[in-house]
Amino acid sequence: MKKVLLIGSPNSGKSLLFNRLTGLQHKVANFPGVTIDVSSGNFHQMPDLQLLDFPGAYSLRPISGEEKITANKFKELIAQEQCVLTLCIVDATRLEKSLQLALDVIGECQKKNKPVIVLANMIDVLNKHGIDFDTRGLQEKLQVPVIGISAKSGLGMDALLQAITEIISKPFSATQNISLLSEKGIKDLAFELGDTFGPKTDLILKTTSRIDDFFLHSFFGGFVFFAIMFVLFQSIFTWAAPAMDGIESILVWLSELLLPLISNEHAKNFVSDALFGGLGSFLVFIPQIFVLTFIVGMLEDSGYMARAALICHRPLRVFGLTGKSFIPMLSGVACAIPGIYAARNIDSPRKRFLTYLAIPLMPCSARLPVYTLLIAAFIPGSSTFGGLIGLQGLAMFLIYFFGLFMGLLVTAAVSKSNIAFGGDLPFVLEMPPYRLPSWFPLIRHSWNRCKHFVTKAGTIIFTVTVVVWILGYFPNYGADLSSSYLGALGKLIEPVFQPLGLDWRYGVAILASFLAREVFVGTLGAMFGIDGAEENFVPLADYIQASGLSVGSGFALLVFYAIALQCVSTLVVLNKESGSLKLPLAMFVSYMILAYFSAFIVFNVVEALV
Amino acid sequence: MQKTSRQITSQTNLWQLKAGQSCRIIGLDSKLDPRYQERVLELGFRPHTKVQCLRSSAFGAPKVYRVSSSVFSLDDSIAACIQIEPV
Repeated sequence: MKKVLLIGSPNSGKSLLFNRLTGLQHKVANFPGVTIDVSSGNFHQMPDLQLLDFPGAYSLRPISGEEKITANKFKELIAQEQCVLTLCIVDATRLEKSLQLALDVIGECQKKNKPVIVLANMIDVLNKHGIDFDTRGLQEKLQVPVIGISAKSGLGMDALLQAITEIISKPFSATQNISLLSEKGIKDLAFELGDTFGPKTDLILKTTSRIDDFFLHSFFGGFVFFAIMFVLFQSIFTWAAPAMDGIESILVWLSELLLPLISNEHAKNFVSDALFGGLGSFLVFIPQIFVLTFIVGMLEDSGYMARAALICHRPLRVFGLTGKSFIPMLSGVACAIPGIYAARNIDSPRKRFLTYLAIPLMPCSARLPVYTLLIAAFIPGSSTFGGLIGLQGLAMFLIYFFGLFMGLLVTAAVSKSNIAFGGDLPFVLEMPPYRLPSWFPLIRHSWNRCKHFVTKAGTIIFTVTVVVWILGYFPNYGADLSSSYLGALGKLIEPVFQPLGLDWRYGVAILASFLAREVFVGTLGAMFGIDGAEENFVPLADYIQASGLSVGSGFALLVFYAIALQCVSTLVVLNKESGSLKLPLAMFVSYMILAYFSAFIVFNVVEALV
Repeated sequence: MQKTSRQITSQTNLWQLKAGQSCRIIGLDSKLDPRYQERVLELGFRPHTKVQCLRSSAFGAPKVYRVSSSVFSLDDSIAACIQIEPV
């Protein structure tokens, strides 16, 4: 299949264009085994043409890990025969910055005798301020086609598609003007062209600066930051609650509809306990994952995230981290894996290493089902301050904060130790202009994350649930859970969990969730399902309340899950990204020990107080 | 007198610039990692270029600088390596 490469500097609107051209068929490929480095999709209007999207880079002379991938992959792919065209996107509102990469790319294409089109993006923003962009003039200077577009509004897409069709249908011979320039020559030319063709007005910067006056205000800035984070965690409960109730009702309705149709008693028990009890308990949490991904994506898209990184830089530096650690750490709140990939943007090897240590302690969405379940079982659903602050939301905020706190504590301790990390580099961060998020791609992205989460976690949960159910159901056909195979196994490991006040059932659930923490919920669901006499799906929190678990043990479980690194995917990605097997193994063992002893302390303190 | 043309006299590096002040870059400190010198130049912090400090916060937080049509946030470890002169 013929390939078209799409390359551009960070924040130039590349992903938006990719989604527009491929009809939003963005492959979500950010899990182990599949590379996240270059995404691919077929052109919506030319299905036999493949578009490859590279991570953003400032030039083809890389200094960060992400840029290295772009530079190396680009040079490798451009040499291939199937590669018929390169689209290089530049931000027309900040031309001189994007032109460095554009000139590097044009030079590389000329050397390989391949065509390239330069796309001047965000023309709509310039038009809004009454500024004209001289595409023809820039085209004459560069001697390659230049098309003004807006990836957001769709302006110039017809001209672009027409140009692509024309170029790939004809034989091509490149002009060798840029490829002959030296590195310094390219830099000088980029700034000369930026001066000549870039916008001559401050209008765009002035708008951004006015908004910054608010978000980066030396007093209000920090306050607004905390308010945004607080709303984020409250919304996980309040916005997602109706949808969660909805899913729960559907599950109850389905179980009432399906179960009477099954005549075989064992099959009926299996469907009721393993399917509805195990897998069903997990599906309830999809709305929360959606809301979380959506809000984090919205903050990224709007340009606020860079401001948040700036606000966090000074405080994070105290713990040996950098403001750039904030984005990977916040992504880690959705899932540690994209967080670890996002850490590629941290150019300092030392800070990157420390960020790796912090990310798995961030409260990821796989912990969310465990937290929600335990909070629902132990914290009353009432609210305080005249209904403004829900107690469950507050508890969630605190346990999330605890994860963050532990992450910082670990990095601070390690950064003061004499473990070797590699070199350090200073802090430079671009402040992109504020823009309204692109809602449709954002919803699509959040939806994809949920789908991915369900297919990935669902498979593991289903397998573990079935195994747990079989072990728990036999040999006495569900008559008595404690005398089943599972019961025997549980009793064997019970002494390990007794100091935390946990009976063997919780021990089994923790053991089953060693490779993926969300399995905890499904395992408990299946076990209580076998144990309970109910024919239909019953909310798991009700079972836990009835199981006699003490408040101290509930808190101990929360703390254990906040720290333990029970995620095999994270370990695999850490190994791949850091190039070290020692790092994930050492982290797994030490976080497990830390989790156990912290839970032990919390259990004893809470039990003494209550 | 406009904010942007406020006189600066004693500052020799970018970190010393206060919010609202502008300067011209003379060069980069040789103690800055060579790869980083490259990047700083690519971002537009080139000799003879005018830079304005848009924002400086308390407690040593990174400052925000404008160079041509882009805005960057730099902390002391790098801003102190960019040598300046008054405009």
